[in-house]
Amino acid sequence: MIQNAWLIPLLPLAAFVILLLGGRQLKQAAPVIAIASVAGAFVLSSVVLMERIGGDTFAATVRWLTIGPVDVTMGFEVTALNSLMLFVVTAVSLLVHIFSKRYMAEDGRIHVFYGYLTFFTFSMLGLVLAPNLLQLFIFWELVGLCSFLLVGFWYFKKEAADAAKKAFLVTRIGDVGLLVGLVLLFNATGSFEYGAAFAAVEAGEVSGTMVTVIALCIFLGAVGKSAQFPLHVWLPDAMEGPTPVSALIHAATMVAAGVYLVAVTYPLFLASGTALTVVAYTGAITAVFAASIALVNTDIKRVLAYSTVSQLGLMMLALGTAGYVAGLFHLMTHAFFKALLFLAAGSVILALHHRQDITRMGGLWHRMRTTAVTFLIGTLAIAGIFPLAGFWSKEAVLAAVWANGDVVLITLAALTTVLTAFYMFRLFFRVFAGTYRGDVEAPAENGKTVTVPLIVLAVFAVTAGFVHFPLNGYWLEGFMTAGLNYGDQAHGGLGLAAVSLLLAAAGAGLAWRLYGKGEESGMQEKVPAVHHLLENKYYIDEIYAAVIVRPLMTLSRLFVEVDRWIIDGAVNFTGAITFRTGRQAGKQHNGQLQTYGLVSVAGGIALIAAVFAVRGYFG
Amino acid sequence: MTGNLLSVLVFLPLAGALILLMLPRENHGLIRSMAGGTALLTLGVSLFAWSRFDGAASGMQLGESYPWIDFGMAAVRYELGVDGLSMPLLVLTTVIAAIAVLASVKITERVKEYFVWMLVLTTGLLGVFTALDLFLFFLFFELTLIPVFFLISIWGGKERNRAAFKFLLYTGLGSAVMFVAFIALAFTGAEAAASAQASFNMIVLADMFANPAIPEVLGTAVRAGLFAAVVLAFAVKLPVFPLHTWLPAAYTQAPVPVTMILAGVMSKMGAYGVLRVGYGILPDQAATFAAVIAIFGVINIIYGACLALVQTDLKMLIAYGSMSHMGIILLGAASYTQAGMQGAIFQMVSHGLIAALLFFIAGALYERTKTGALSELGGLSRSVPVLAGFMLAAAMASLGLPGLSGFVSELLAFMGIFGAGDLIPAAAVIGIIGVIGMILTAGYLLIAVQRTAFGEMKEQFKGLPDVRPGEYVPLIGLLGLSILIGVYPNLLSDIINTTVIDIITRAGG
Repeated sequence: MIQNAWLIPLLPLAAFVILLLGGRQLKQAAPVIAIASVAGAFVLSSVVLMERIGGDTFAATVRWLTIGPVDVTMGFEVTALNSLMLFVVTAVSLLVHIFSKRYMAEDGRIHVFYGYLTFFTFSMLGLVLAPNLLQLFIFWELVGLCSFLLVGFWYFKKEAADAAKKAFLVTRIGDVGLLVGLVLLFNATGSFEYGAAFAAVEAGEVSGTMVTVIALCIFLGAVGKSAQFPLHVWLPDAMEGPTPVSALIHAATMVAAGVYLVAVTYPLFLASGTALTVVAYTGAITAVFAASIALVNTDIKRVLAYSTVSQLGLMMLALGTAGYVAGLFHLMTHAFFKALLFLAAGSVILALHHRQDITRMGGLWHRMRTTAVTFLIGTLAIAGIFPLAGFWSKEAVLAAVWANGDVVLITLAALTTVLTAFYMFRLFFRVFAGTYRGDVEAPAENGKTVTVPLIVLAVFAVTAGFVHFPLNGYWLEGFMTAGLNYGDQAHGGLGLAAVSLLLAAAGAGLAWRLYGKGEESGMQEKVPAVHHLLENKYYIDEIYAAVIVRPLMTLSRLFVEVDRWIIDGAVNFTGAITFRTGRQAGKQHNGQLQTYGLVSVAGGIALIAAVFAVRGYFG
Repeated sequence: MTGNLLSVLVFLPLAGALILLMLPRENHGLIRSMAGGTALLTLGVSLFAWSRFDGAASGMQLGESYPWIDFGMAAVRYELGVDGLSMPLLVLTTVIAAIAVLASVKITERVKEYFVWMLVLTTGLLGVFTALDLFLFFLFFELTLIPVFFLISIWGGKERNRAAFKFLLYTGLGSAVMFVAFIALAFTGAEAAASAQASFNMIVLADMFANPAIPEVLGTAVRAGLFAAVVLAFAVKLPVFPLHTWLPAAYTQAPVPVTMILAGVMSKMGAYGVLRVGYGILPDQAATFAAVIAIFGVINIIYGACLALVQTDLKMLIAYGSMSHMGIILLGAASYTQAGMQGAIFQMVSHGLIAALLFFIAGALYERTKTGALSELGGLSRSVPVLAGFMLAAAMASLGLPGLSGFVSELLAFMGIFGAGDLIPAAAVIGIIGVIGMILTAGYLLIAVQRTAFGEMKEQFKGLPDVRPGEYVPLIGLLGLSILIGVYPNLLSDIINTTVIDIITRAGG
């Protein structure tokens, strides 16, 4: 099967083509076709992962573009990293596809929705299978397109259309960085292929400065895609998309592509201490920054969105502190528990007829038991409570940061742990504890297509951590680093585990004290200035509008005036004179053709005469 | 069989035009079929020429050469030929021309005249891309301008006279400079080669100017002046800032099919002229001027994109966007690298397809909504979902989404400029400014999409007809070709690679 791994993305692509061409006729069959294709991809991915664990590997390429003597190729390669990613992506995608059948059932364009969703799955799988940076970029842009289409799925809502545009433009800033990075890498090493390019870097063929520049350009792409500070602004707005989209694209897979990108180009970062430090600090700052905004937000999806930004920051932090396995391990566990949290949130939103304001929730524990329990499992997992998946992966991240030894980073990581537990439990209590404050009559569960994906993801959220824990000798590490020379991976001990549990418990306990009854805490009155700052997301959007958008528009309008008055003014002036001269010279012929001929020929002859006189041809 | 293939190709539309002249004026159906048939046949012949073209071979192919006019001091020959630079443009021309002719269903006045001019225009364009003699090239070049002037001034929009006049004024300037430049090239070339008779043959001239002794015969200033004149002459057509203000007027006032040809093919005449005549005959000067060309390239990109950002009319937005994208050609060419030069040619083809597609869609929207004002449009994804879908796809193609042709050309052009550090000081800075243009491009195109397709459906746009069967031809044809090149760019690079290697080698030697 591993030789045919290219079939995995093609299955959802086939479904996309069918839905694109025949969607309107298919209507009810559309979800079934999409689910079947992704189920197929999931089965194949599982087989490929098993074979990869068994030690098989495979790579193939075809010629794509010839530049002088250089052939640029496309193809696929199955590595430890991407076989794992194939599994995670298809697993989450399959569950989201199933979940969406009910979630989107009332939407008249459900076939379009499934079309986009399958195209996204295709693109994301293509991204992880890519054996070179150019091919990765191609699919990187395609997942961005899908994100745009799905955030703006309800394009008739202004908020959705604006959010889609914002998502596209902000990530494009990063994409442009990545493009420059890969162009520079090609110019420096003569190849887009990971292996060949990194070999050239490791052999010292590229100057240290250039490696740093390339790594930072590539990282800019990751910052955009993974919504890291200061390009994080698009992700919370992207919550305008349907919730299954938020779960799949804006929590589990696409936004993690930035982390994946840093991981696949890791040799470049290892070769540049500066780049590695930038990654670590960006991640750490983002982690705390986003978590702090999540403390006060009252939209169930936006809290989770800021949480995602924060958790992606932790992954970056791990990669930046040489925790290659830790970062990717956390990527994997996060994919499961965050998809779970989003889908559970979706279940709540569906039950409340698309209300997302947590001040109008509460008391849902008794009304939606499955959703509540699975949401609690997700909350425990992300807070890092033993022995759920998040505990082990966060443990690995903290171990890497601890081993790195930078006090600032350690402090930020610890702070993030407290904040994460706090805002997640706040969210849990506000939604499920106390009494129901909403206006929708008798909210209740939405049936098996909704709850079954929740239960499956909850199982993953509990167990996924056991691929990498002391009792199996940190199995994941052996699998992922075989044949790679990415340095020793740090492991936490009992002490670190105890401290991190204490930090999480502190956050959760504080949330229980303040929000345990599901009601407002009164923080707004106690620290109004802080609350205001956080509620307004540190005014980043406003700053961008003032510093970038408005000056750009002013400049553009200035150009319009330049065009109209200066350039066109000169033209019209010349035109008027020529036209008058032409009139006088050819009074008998007033037709436009004559004018035309006159302008060109007379002007031409005059110039020829001048030139030839100077050059002496007539002399 | 292939002896006079290029002549057949070039004059086939003209023959069709002559036959049209003999048809009865009132029989629109017959006129349309005749014109459409001629355009399709021409497309077929160009594809046949493509199949006969050997991408691996250097130099001109399918050549024809006959003595024509002997002025004594100068000889003009009728000479045609194609290489990897002109072959793709030849096919692009016939594709766009055929689609434009087929898309002319809305022309109902003076039908016969209209199609005659369209076919004459096609012959002119094909002649420009095949002529190897500067004199012949000039004649074909002029032959394209007259039909366009009439097509705008007779069948154009409300402001057609102003637009046509502006077009004429700029073009007159360009032609005058070109004429002088060509004459000067021929005679200075002859002087340099100590030849009694001047030749207008581009290949011969290139060899004359490649003579290592040339700096002694012709000073740097003369050669620089010649190169500058050639570039100036073609810069109008491209257009290059600040010679661009004819563009928005002409693109928005011309009837849609004519705009498709203007933006799709005629702007490429300018780029082609710069490469064929400027780079072809004076490669050393092209290298000297590399930084200047690159700077004008980024100015075009940024200035055009900024203007597009604040337009209030869809067609104007696309027009300025089109101008912005021409900067990519300059940027790639300026780099004088294998990748950059290939990117320039890719961009000519890609932009030809995408600009034509965008203008076709804008025209189709205008025809339905009767407005081009972005503030009045909106919600069209509801009323005309398929057309809005094509608009989205075209916008994505234009902003360089991978999988579509624009991405390949931008990638190559930027590979070129970032790799041109030896030739251009601060090439990286120019490259960075260029890629910022890519962000702005996404900005104005998404504004266009949002303002037209997104939002609540407007009452007055309820029940508008979606894409008609006949409209699928341009939509699928143009988008399909863009996807084809984007997914498998070797289709194109296999044709142009060898020629580009030759261009780069000549600059080095």
